[in-house]
Amino acid sequence: MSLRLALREWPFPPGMEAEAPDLLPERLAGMSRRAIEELPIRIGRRTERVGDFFDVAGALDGAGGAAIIRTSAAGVLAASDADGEVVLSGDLTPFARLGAGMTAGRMRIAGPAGPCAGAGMRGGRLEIHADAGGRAGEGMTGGVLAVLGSAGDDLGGPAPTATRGVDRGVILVAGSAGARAGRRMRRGVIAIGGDAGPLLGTEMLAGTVVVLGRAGEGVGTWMRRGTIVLGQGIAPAAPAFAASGSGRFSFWSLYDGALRAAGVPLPEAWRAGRFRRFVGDRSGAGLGEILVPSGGADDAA
Amino acid sequence: MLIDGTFIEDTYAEAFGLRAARVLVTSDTAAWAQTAALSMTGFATSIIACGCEAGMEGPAPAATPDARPGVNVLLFARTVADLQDQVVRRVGQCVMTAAGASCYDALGPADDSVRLGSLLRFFGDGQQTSKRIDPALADAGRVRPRRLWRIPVMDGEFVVDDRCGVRKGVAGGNFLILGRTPETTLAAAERAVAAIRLLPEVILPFPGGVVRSGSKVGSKYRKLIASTNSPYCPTLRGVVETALPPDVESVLEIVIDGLTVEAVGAAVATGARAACGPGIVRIGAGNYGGRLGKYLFHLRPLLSGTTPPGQAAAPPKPR
Repeated sequence: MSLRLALREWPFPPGMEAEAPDLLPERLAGMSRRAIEELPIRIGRRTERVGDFFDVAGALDGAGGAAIIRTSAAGVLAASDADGEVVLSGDLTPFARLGAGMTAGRMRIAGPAGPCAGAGMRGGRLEIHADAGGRAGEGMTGGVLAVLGSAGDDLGGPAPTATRGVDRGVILVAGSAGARAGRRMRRGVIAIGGDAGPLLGTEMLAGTVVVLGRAGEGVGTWMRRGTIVLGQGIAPAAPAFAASGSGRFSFWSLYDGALRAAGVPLPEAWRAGRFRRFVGDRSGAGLGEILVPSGGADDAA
Repeated sequence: MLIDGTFIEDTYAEAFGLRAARVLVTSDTAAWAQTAALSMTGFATSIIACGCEAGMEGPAPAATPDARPGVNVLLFARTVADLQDQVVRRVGQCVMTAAGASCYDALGPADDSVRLGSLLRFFGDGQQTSKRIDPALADAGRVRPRRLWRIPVMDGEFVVDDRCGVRKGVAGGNFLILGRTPETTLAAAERAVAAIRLLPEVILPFPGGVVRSGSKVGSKYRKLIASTNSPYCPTLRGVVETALPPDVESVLEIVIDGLTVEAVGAAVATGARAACGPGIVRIGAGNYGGRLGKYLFHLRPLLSGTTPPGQAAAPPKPR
């Protein structure tokens, strides 16, 4: 059975930010409707009740659908209506840090989400069925964050004062992402179905970023290691990146199969794993790589 | 008990426990995957002198992690440390060197693991890179993250799993084919091998799947732990006590290693049945009175199908 929380109305002026840190599957599992309604929401300096703003229906049994997460990643990007999940609906743009720190279970946000959605996730699956604000998935160390719309700036970046961005975990975005996606990423996968803003994968330490569309300027600036796969647009330029030839990269087949199974619409031509490879950023360690599908991008620049 | 005119002796095969690993070797073509796997399983007939027993597992996998043709290889050794040594040597020297080849752990649930890519990576001289595929994106049912190493080589990259799973296996399942002539005996052995090679989870580690130099435990020479199986040598009739009927001129043995008792039992039954026919006088089995091995495969119950799967090793080991 699912637990549904529908936002009735938001009486506060735009810019007034709220946080509901207890709206997590692992905390809501087994709670009564009344207990859920009494949970706190922080709005500015005030603390209000969940029941004052949300209609609560249903309940969440056991571990909040954790078993679903462990057994299958298929269809992550597909809209789902599975049992055993928390569903938040409405325009949740004022709510920051939705799903932040999730460790298990499944949560679906049926509407746009505010900043820092899924920040610090350690497990489980968070689906946002519209756009996500900036800093989504910041500092993740596990789990799956799927955004069916677009994501704002600093997707999967480091939390303030932290040195690492995503360090394990999977972020899938059906639409586009803003600037600096994957900054200081250490491990894990970020897949962006549309375009990415400037400075994609800047300061990457390791991990894999896949962009099906175009990326803004400064792709991989100061990246030390890691892989960026760039579907379209301008191939990285010298002197920061050096052309490293082309060929078939059999490791890609493992990502290709896994990402397709997760619902990422990779082009059919990518199955062969043939890429042109650029290594850099040579102003640093220079062990990073940008892969451009053979014949897919303009490497004249 | 007779099958196709062949007498089935009322005896049992004796097998023992070893540690097992399974790796999947892939390449751009099935022929090159086969070549790499064949090279890797060379000189791996018996743990007595080869360090491990290894062979290509029957059916080719329907799907491989990198979507290329592949061959599963099973390796068996006495200890996890022995397996560690053998797996790294063989993958490093025979798979990493083979054109286009990659190597993946293919065991599934494991009790333990040994290092593979995490040791071979040093060949990359600092230019190697690793990729970690999150469990949420990895193969269904895989609970551990998959960590791969990409080692630069002259035709591109050698991709290899960081570690390789290990679990308990069964080695030394066997049966003996006693024939009237060397030709009919060899033909029967070839039928048995062809039938067993269709089965999963088992390998036939000896050349062509057939052993002609079956052994007994011990020797008159103190340094040898095994010596020729003299009761089954036709040329020693009249010299030592023989186990051969008068019309038998040749004996060949099929030795089977497998991941489970059930798999080895099924292979013994399938192979022995395929070997029966004209010119084959008896099907026997090698044992040491129940003193050496933990697993006993009684031929008659196995071949009559009265031993339910999972009980191929009944009855308990005699004391």
